[in-house]
Amino acid sequence: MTLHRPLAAAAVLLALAAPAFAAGDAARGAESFKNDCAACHTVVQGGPNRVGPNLFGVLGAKAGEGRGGFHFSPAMARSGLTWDEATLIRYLQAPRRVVPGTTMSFQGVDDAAEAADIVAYLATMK
Amino acid sequence: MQKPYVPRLAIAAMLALGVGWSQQARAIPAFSRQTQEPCTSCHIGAFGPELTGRGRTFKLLGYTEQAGDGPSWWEHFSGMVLGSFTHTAAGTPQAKPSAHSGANDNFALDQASLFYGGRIYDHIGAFIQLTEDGINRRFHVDNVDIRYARQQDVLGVDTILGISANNNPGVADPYHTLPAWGQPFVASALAPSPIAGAILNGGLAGQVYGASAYARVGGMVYAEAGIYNSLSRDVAHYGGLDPNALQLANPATFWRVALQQETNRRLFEVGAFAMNAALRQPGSGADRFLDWGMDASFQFLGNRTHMFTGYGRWLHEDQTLNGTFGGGNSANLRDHLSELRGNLSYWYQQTYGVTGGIFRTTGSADAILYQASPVGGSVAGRPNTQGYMAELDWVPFGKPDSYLSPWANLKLGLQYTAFSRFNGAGQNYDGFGRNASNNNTLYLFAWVAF
Ligand code: HEC
Repeated sequence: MTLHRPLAAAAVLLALAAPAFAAGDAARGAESFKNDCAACHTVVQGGPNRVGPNLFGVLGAKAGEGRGGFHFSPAMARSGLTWDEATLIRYLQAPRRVVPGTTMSFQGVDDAAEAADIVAYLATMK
Repeated sequence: MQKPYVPRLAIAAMLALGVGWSQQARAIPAFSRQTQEPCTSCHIGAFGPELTGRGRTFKLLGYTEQAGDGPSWWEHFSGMVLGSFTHTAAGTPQAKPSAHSGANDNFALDQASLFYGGRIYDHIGAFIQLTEDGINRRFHVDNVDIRYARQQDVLGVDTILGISANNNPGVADPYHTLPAWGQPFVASALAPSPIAGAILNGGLAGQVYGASAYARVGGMVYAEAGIYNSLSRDVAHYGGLDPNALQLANPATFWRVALQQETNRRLFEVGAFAMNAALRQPGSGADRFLDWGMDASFQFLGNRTHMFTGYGRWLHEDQTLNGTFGGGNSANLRDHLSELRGNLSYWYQQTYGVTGGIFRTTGSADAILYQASPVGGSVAGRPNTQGYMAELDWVPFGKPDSYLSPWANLKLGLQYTAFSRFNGAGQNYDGFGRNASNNNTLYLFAWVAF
C-alpha cells in the first residue's frame, strides 16, 4: 500500500491542476468560438482580418506578430507573450488583465473550462 | 392660443409616446460594414436598437472599432425607411391624428432617415441621423451622438471613459430602460396619445444640445452626467425642428448611475437616474421639473438560440409650475406624474421575437391642465393611463451568413397596444363619449435599413 502513496499523491496533484490544463472539448469550443469570437475573428487558413486578426495557427505563435499585417496595439506587440495553452486560457478569461492596454474589447469568457474548450478548438485550426 | 400650456403638454406627450419612434430607429448597416460583424453581434434580434454586451461596448468606445483600415467613407452612410399601417378600435373623425391622415386605418411612411455611423478618427466616432418625418412632413436633424472615448486602466481597474455631444438626455445610455432607448422601439404616430408624459420621456429629444461625460468602471459600474440647453430658435429652424418645442429657461442637468454584472451571455443591471429642467413659460417664471427614477434590466443570451430580456423603469416627475400656474393655466402650483413600464421579450434564433409589456402613468388631478376635449382630453382632469402591449417580430436577415449582409436588413412587426384607462378613466374619458379601449391600436410595420 505504501508503495502507491506517491502515485495517489500525483493523482491528487493532477486532479488539482486539471482545471487549468484540462484538455478542452474542441466541439464545444467551436460552438463557443462561434458565439464569442467569430464576430471579430476568422480562424480558417487565409481568412481575412476583421476587428481582430485571423487566428489560424495562433496556438504556439508569438503574440502580436504577423497575421497578415494586422495592426496590433503597442500593448499586444510588446507583450512578449507566446500563445501556449496556459497563456491563452488566462487571456481568454480576462484579456485586459493579461495584456493591459490591448484593444481586444472582449471582456472574457465565463470560466476556465470554456476557455479550455476554445483553445482545444483553436489547436485544431493549424 | 388662449390656453398655451395644454397644447404644449400635448406636444410633450406626443413626443413622449406617439412620436417616440422618431428617436428609436437605429440599426445601421454602416456599423456592420465598419466592423465586418453581423447585426447579431451587437443587436438582440439581429436588428437595432436593442444592444448585446458587444453592442454596449462598441457604443461606449465611441463607435470606433473597425476591421482593418475600415470601410470607404461612403460606406459610413446608411439609410432607413419605416412604413406602417395603423388601426385604432374606433376612428377619430373629430380629431384626425395628423394633417395628412384619415380618421382611421392609415398607411404611413413614418420616417425615412439618412445616417452617418462610425469612426471619424482614432478615438472619435459618431452616430448622426437626419430624418424625413412622413407624418408631419418635416425633414429634420434627428439623433446626434458624437463621442470621444478611451479604454484605460485606472488604478488597476479596466475603465472606459468618454464624452458624448448629443441632443437628448439619455441617448448616450447603453441600456434599454431609459425612455430614449426603451421599448417599444417603434410605435404608431397616428394613434391617440395620452395627455401627459414626463419631460425625460422624450420632451427634450432633439430639441436641445448638450454634452455628457461617462465611465464604465471594471465592467461593474456605469455612470454618466450631462448638461443640456435649448437650441436657439434660428438654429432650430435651420435644423428643421419643431418651432413650438419646449424651451429650457436654463441648462438642464442629467445623471445616471448603474450597477451591472455582465458576461458574454447575460446582463443584470440596476440603476437610478435624474434630470432637472426648467421650462420657459410666457409671463411669470419658469416651470421646474425634477424627473428621477430607478431601472433594472436582465438579458440572457445563452448560445443565442433562445434569448430572454426584461426591462423595467419607474420614473417620477415633480412639477413646480410657476409660469403655468401664475398664468392661470393650471389649478395647482405643484403637480406630479409617475410612470411605470415593464417589458419581457423572447427571441428564437435571432429571427422570431415576441414581446409583452405593461405601462401605467398616474399623476395629480389638475382640472385646468387636463381638460375635456375630443379624443385627447380628460374629463376627470387626470393623466392616469394604463394598459399593455404585445408585439411579434420577424427579422429574416442580419445573421452572419445572411443574404445581403452587411448591406441591408429588415424587420417586420405586428404590435398591439391596449388601454384599460386613458387620461383618467376607462369609460367616456374625454367627456365626448370615448372609452379607453377605443384607443386600442394595431400597428403593422416594415422597417428596412441599408
Ligand atoms: C470585439 C472584438 C473581439 C472579440 C469578440 C474577440 N477578439 Fe480577440 N482580438 C481582437 C482584437 C482587436 C485583437 C488585437 C488586440 C491588440 O492588438 O491589442 C485580438 C487579439 C486576439 C488574440 C491575439 C492574436 C495574436 O496574434 O497575438 C487572440 C489569441 C484572440 N484575440 C482570441 C480571441 C478569442 C479566442 C476570442 C473569443 C473568446 C476573441 N479573441 C474575441 C478583437 C476581438
